[in-house]
Amino acid sequence: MKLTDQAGPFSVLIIDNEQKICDLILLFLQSTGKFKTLVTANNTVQAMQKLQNQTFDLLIADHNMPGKSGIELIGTLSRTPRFRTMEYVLISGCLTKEDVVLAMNEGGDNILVKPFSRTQLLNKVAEVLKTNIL
Amino acid sequence: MSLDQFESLLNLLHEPILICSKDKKITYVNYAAATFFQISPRMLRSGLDLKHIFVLPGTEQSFNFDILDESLKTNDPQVSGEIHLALAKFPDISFFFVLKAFTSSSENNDKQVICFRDLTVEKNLYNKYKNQIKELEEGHAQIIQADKLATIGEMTASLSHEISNPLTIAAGNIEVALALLDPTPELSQIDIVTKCVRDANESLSVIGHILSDLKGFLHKSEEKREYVDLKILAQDIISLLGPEIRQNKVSLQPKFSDTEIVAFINPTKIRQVMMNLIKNAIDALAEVQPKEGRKIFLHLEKDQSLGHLFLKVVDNGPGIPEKSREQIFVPFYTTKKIGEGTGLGLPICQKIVTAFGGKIWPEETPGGGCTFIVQFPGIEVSAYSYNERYLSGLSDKQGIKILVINDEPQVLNVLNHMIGRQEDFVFIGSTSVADAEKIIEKFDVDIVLTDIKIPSRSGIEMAKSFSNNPQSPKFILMSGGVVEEEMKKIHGLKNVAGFLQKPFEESILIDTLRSALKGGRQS
Repeated sequence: MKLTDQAGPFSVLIIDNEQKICDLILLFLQSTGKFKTLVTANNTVQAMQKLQNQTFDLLIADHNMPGKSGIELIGTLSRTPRFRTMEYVLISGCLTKEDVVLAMNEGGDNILVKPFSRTQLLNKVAEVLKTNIL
Repeated sequence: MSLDQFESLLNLLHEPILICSKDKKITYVNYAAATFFQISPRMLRSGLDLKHIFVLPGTEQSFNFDILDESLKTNDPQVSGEIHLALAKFPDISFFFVLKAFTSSSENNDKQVICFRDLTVEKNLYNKYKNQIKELEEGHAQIIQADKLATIGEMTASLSHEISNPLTIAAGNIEVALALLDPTPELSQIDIVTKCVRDANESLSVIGHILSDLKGFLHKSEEKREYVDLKILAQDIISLLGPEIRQNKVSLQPKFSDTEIVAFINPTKIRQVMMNLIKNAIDALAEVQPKEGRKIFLHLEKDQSLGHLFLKVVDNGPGIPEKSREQIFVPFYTTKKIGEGTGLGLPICQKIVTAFGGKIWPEETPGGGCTFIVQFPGIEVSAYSYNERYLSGLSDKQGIKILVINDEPQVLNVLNHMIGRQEDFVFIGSTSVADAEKIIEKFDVDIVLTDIKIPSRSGIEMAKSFSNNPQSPKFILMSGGVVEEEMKKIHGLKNVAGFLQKPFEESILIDTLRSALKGGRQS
């Protein structure tokens, strides 16, 4: 694996209250060289701030966060016209059946279960962005 | 009364009675004894010796009737403790007796009479009940274990999240690090590799902590009790419940008093009680959204005058509805949804707490919410009542009460272990001199084992304050430091019976205690 400075077409916002998870996803995505901007946030409030000035192709959010949950965030955004084209990946360590149903209703039907490996994450991202990034 | 009349009187009695001469040759047995011990008149005429009839159970050693010699010497009736005897002829038959022996002296020959009080039935009943209680306790332990498993089941969601997070970080970082190092390590990226490895390492230790907390909670508890610092125990539980607390957006704050809160309990069981109470509070708070936020306070206090310890779990939730108040301690009563509560949490807490001589009850939190209060007896009382339970139930021998004062729970545990192994010793632990002094007279303590240096009052001063009291217990002083100065101070004190230089071995400790009981003084 090489960390390239090569820039690709995609921009991603990563939200997890655990900074280390953000860093990890960042590293995973950087290694592909397919992303032009990678931004991280630790909670939904920060995420909303970042979303004000910028649009992203993909939003990766943890479900389990203090404050607003990942599903709530995705629900809010998917109802906002400005973010219609944005894709979502929900990551979580443990989702109940009700959570999954809720997530699907709110527009977050791409779920990645923790713990995940690099391949699993990239496969999921590739599937959502409909591109081959591996 | 003629001898014949006397003998026919003895024959009417149900209890076996033997008469023997000074050299322990049997001269007479009453009817009851003849049937009891299977002694035929023919055997009797052949000059039967006591040692021909009785042996120690399971051996061929003859039983030594010391009390006969004693009674001959003192000329007073003597009563034995509980004695277990088997018949020499039929070693399978054994009895439990209390013996009474007295000597009737006449000019030419001393006769000794031995009366047997048969305790076999009582003893068997006692053993039977003991076994049944043991079975009950085992059943009880299984229910408690089941409750713990249920608690863990309910916590699975938050726990799996808590574990999968660090697991993702650890595994992912190692993956990145490996990829960066392969095929040739690139020095320009060494910073990233270092960070990856460090993050992975930290995350793995997080998982380790979660699992060790869990193990401490799930560990199947034995009946054994220990001297435990409740503050440390409470901190453990707070850290184990961390994920649950954060997930439910609750703030859990410890409010511990400055005094030491040491209890004589079984730590795994009390952990379960704390866990259940705090989890209940979290569940209750999940239903509401108080203005000032969801709050739980965990209090630990000590009642200085009575020595009681209090654990309080205070929440600002909805409180207990009036209709449920009566039933909260009824097994299987639950207000939670099916699958969320077993209805056993509080009944089990109550069982555990009462087993340690404590009480548990709910109160209303001023300003709304619920407070659960658990009260434990002070360690001296609980240690005494617990340890005395193990003395044989039938013999009327009193245990020798040894009060040990030390402010370090671990030291008490070690000494309890050593002293507890002596069957006739009753160990009473104490962490405070003030409490210990109250106990000394109440329980008729035989020996006080204390450090020369303890906070608030030295062992020597304590011995001094009792020195004019004829009922004073014997004091044994322990010290780890230089002792010459202190030895001088001890000189005049008659009630100081020994001195132990730390560290000491178990045999030395026991020897010192034994010789103190005999009235000797040892250094």
